[in-house]
Amino acid sequence: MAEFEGFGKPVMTNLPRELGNSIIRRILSTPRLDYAKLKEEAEKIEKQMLELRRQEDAQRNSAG
Amino acid sequence: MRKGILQGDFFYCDHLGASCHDEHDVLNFSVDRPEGFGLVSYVQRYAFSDEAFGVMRTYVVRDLQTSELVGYFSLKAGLVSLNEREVEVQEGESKRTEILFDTVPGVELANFAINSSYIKNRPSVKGIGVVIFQQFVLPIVRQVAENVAVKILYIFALPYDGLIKRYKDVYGFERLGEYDEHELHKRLKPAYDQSCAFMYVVL
Repeated sequence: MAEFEGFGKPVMTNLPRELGNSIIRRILSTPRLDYAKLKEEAEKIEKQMLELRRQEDAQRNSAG
Repeated sequence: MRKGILQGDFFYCDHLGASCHDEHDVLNFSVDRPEGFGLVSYVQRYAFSDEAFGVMRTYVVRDLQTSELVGYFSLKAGLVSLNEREVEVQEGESKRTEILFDTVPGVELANFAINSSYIKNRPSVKGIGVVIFQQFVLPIVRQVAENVAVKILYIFALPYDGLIKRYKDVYGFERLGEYDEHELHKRLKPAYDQSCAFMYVVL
């Protein structure tokens, strides 16, 4: 992977018991990702990009 | 005709090396963010050989209309695990010792970068990363999760407040508690003074 000079990557394996239990408990109690919210946001952005492109194409066509 | 392995209305995604233009196009890849050097260096110097060796899977994202290189991301298998531990199990009147190995399987989003060269030509376009994440990264990982146990998608984020906030607020990644992060960092010392933050989403 990309190297980030000076920044270590935490080791997530072979965790000592207390730390590992805390992390794994936290992970397993976290709700699933809100896919609907992310989809809505992505679709909004994509719509904006498509509209921008449509305007650019229209400008280019009228200039040509 | 569909392009790549996944296609949206604006971008499409394919394996690195699927296009004969990939090797040339990555040479013009740039990232203006502070962590950009490592992300550019990786895709230009290591991604193709890592792909060939099967130690990383890198995907390129291209503009559907212009085929410009928009960004790339890399995925690899990983896990969070505890030390092996012995537990005593009661069986009737006797006890036996079992060795447990607690794990949470996951996929690491090892690299995720948007091409600054592409963005510079479209300064009013914001949120490309969200589209790529939702349309390509998540579907690929979720498809893996249908066949192999994968509980989380995780990243190691550079400890820049703006970056971490973006991963949390926009992409939905969670961060560990402060104490756990501190304890994780201690395991890196003295080799590293600073540590990336482990962040994850539950699939």
